[in-house]
Amino acid sequence: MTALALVLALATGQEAKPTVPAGSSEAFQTSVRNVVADLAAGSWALAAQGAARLPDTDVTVSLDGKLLDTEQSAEFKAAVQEAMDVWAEAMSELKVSWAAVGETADVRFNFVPSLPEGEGGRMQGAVHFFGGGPAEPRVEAVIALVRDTPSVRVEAADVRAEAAYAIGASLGLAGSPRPGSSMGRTDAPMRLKPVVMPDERRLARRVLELSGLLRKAAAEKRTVELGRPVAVLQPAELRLEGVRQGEPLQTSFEVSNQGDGELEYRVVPDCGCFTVGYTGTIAPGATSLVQVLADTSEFPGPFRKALYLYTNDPDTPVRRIPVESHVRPAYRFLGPATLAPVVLGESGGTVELFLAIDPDRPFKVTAVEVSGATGQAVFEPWSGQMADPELGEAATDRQGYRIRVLLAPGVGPGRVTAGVFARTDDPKTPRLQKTFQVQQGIVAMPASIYFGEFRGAGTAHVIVSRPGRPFQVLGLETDTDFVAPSLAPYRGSDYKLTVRIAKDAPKGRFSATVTIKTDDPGQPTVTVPVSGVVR
Amino acid sequence: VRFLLWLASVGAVVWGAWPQPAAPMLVVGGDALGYLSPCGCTKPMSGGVRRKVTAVRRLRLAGEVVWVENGGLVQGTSRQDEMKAETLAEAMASGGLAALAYGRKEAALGPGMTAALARLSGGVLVSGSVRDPEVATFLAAGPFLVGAASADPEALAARIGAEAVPTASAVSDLLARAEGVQAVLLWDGDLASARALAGRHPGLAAIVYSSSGRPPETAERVGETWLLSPGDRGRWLVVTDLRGSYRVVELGPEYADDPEAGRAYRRYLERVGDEGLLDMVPRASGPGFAGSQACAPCHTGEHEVWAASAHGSALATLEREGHDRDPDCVGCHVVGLDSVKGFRSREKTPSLADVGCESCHGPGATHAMKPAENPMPKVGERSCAPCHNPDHSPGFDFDSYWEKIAHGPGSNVENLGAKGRKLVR
Repeated sequence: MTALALVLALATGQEAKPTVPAGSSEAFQTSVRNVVADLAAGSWALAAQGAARLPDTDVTVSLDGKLLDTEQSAEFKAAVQEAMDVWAEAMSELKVSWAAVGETADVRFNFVPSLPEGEGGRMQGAVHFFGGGPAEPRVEAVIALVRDTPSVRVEAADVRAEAAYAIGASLGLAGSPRPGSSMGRTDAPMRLKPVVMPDERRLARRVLELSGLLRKAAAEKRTVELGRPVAVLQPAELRLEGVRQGEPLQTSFEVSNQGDGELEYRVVPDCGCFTVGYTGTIAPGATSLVQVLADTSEFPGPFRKALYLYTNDPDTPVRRIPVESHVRPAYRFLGPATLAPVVLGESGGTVELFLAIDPDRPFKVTAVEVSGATGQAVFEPWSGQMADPELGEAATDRQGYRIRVLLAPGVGPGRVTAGVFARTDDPKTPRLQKTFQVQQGIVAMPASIYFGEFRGAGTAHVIVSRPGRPFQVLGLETDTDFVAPSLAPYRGSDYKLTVRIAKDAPKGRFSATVTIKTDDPGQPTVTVPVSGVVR
Repeated sequence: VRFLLWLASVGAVVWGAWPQPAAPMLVVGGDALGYLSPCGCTKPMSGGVRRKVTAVRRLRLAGEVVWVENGGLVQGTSRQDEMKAETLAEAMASGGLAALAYGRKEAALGPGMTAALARLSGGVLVSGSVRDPEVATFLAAGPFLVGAASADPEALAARIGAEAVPTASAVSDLLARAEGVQAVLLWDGDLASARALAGRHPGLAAIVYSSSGRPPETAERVGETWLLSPGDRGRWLVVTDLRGSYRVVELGPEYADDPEAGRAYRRYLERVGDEGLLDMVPRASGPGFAGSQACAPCHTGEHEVWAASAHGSALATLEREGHDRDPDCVGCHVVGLDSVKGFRSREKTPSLADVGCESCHGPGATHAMKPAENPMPKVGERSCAPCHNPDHSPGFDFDSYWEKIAHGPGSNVENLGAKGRKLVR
C-alpha cells in the first residue's frame, strides 16, 4: 500500500511569533506560560527565576541507591550512564553529566520496593515528579524494584529506558506512544535500547530554543508574546469520484494558518492504504497544499476512510478529514460457499466458486490450488449474471472464471477452514485467496460447549447434525458426575444436545467430555468438550 | 507525602474527567469484527473488550447507563470466530450489557452459536427480523425499548432456518410497543439506509448503524431521530442522552483492563492454543525458505543488526503476551505462516521463528543454494506495510523505524567488525 502526502507552500507568510512546540510536556508548557505572564507583569526577578528552571543544554543527573545492594547499584548506575550517552550522542549540543556532590541535579533517580497499579492495570515501573523550586530536581524519577503484573524484577535495561525517558522529560518532552523511542516508556519490561527519534531531537531543540529566548527576555527585562496558530482546512471533507480497484485515489486539501504563531501539523491516516503521514510547519498567513494518494488495491466497494490532522492549534488539536469514494472491484469471489459450511459426503464434495473479474482490467488465472483440505480445483472461463450481496449489488452481468473445487472426504469428522489460492498473470494481484468452512461427518455446532463463568446450575446446548445423511443416537456418556447430558430432535434430522451442570458442581475450572454414541460404524462416537468456571 | 499527593492528584484527574450526567445515558458499541483486543505488539492502541467493560463501569459510577451493542461481533465463520464471538458475549455480559443485536454476522455462525451467544450474553440477544426462541424481539432497558433489525432479514433467517420478518413490520412493532419510552433501533445496515429508515419511521428516538473507522464527531439527526454509529473494530463507544449530549469515547490505554472481562479473554487465548488453531491455518505451496540463520555466513553485519533488533525476538514478544498460538498474531511475528514451507512452531522450525530476513525479502532457499543465480528481489517500504499498518502499528514511521534495523548498501551502516554495526549519523 502506498500513499503520498506532499506539501507545497502557496503563500509567503508573515513573521511568526514564538509558539509552545506541540509534543512538549504539560509541565514545560505551564512553566513557559508562567514566565510569559511574569514578563508581561513586569515581575522581572520572578521571570528570571522561572526561566532559569527551563531546560538548557547542561543536564546533570544523580542517583540515590540507598535501597540497592552493591551489585545493583553499580549495574543501575551503568544503565543510567548508557541513557545519558544515548542523549548526548543524539544531540551533540547537550552536556549530560553526573551532578557534583551536594549539587541539586536536574534529573534525580531513586528507588522504591514497588509502586501500585497504574491505569493500564500493570504495577507501575516508575513515577515522575516535576520540581517547582530551585532546590528540587527538574525531574525526579522514582523507579520500582519490581514492575508489571505479574510482577518481575527490574533489570538494568528497564532502568536504562526509564533514565532515557526522565532525561527527555527534563528537556520538556512529553511521553510518546512509540515503543523503543526515548519517550515511549511503558510499565512492562523494556528490553529495547532506547533511541532518540529524529522528531524527538527536533522537539528538544525547539524547547531549548524557546527556553533560551525566554531567559534572554528575562535578562533584558522585556516582554514576549507567544503566537497562536489557527488551522483552517479547505475542503474539510474529501468526497471523490469512483476509481477501479488498484488505481490510486488522488486528491488534496489546503491547510491555512490564520493565526500569528507558526502552525505545526502532522497528517495521520486511519488506514494502511495511506502509509505515509506528513509533518510540516506553516508560517502565519501561509497556506500549504497536502496531496493525498491512496492505494485502493485491497478495498473494493465503498471506500470510507479518514485522515487525522494533528496541529498545535490549541482550539482544534485534532481534526478528522473523511476520505470517501467507491472502488470498483478488480475481482470478487462470489457463490454460495461464503456463509454456511460446505458439507462433505462419503465421496467428498464439490464447491463452486465464481471469480468475477473487472472486464476493463482483465487478467488470467494460471493455477488454482486447494489448501486446508485434500482436493483439487478445476477452473474455466465463465460469464453470467450474479449478485454480490456483500457489496449490496444486485444480479448483473459478470465475467471471469468458474472454479470447481473437488474435495476428497479426507478432512475427518469435524469442521476445518479450507481455501483456494488462485495464481494469476497480473503482477498487481499475483495470488488471490478465498477461504470457506468444510464439514464432514456428524458435527457439533459449535464444536464445544463453553459455559464461561457462572454461578449455581448451568445449562447449554449445541446442535449435532449431519446434513443430508440422517443418523441415530444410541446413547450418551459423560466422564464427569456433575455434567448431565440429554438429547432431543431438532428441526428434522438434527439433534439438540443439552448439557446441565449441577448446582453442587465443585467451584473452579472444569473440563468434561460428553460422548454421543451413534449408529454410524464409520463414526461410532462424537465427543463434545465441555468447559467453564463455576464461581 | 509526595506519593500520597500524587495518588490524590491521579484520583482527582480520573474523577474530574467524568461529569455527572443528568439523564440516563445510552452507551453504544458494536462492530468489533473479531477485534477482541488491541494488538499486543505496539502500544498504546485503542480498543478491546476489556477496556470497553472498564469504560462502561466508570460511566455507570456517574449515573444510569444503558449499554447496547450493534452486533458485528466477528467477520467470519471459522472456529476462531466462534470462540471470539463467545468471548465477546461473555465479557460484555460481565459488564452489564443491555442488548446485543443479532445481525447477519451473528446468524452466519449458525443456530448452535445463536444459542451460545444468547446464553453467554445473559439473554440480551435481540432482533425483530427473525422469529427464533433464542432471540428477543425487543428489550426494555431503562428509559429505552431496544429493538434490532437487519437490512436483509431473509438472508439472516435463512442461515438459521427461522422465519424472516420484513423490516417495515419489525420497526412498526417496535414503535407500537414503545409507548412512553424511547425506541432505539440497532440497525444492521449503513448510514444511507439508516437515513431512509429514519425518514420512514420518524417515531424512532435513535438508529444505530454500522460504519468503518472512527465514529462521527457530531451526531446526525433526521427529524427527531438520532443516527449513531460506534465505528468499527471495537475501538470506541458513543455516549449520548438523546437530548443533545453526545461524545465519542476512544478506548485508549487510560482504560485499565477489566478483571472479569480479562479472565474471559485469558480463557479465550487458552482455548485457541488448546484447540491448535495455528496448525489449521490454510497454507499455499510456494518457494522454500532458508531461515534467518542461513543468511548469517554471508550477510554477517546484517544478521547482527537483525539479531539485536526487535524483529529478532518478535516471537518472544508474543510468548510473553500469551499470543504465540494465536493465528491472528503469529503471522506477523514469524516467517511464512501462510506457506506450506513456512513456520510451524518454534520447536519444528526454529529458524523461521521471529520476523526474519525472509519476512521482508521473500523466500530465499534458492538464493541460499546459488546466490549469484538467484538474486533476492529489492524490497522497500512496501514490505513493512502488511504488518506495520495503522491497526497494528499506529506509531509507525518508516524513517525512524528503519534507523532501528538499518542494514545493507546505502543504509549508512559501517561495519565495526566484532562490535557489529553502528549507525553513522
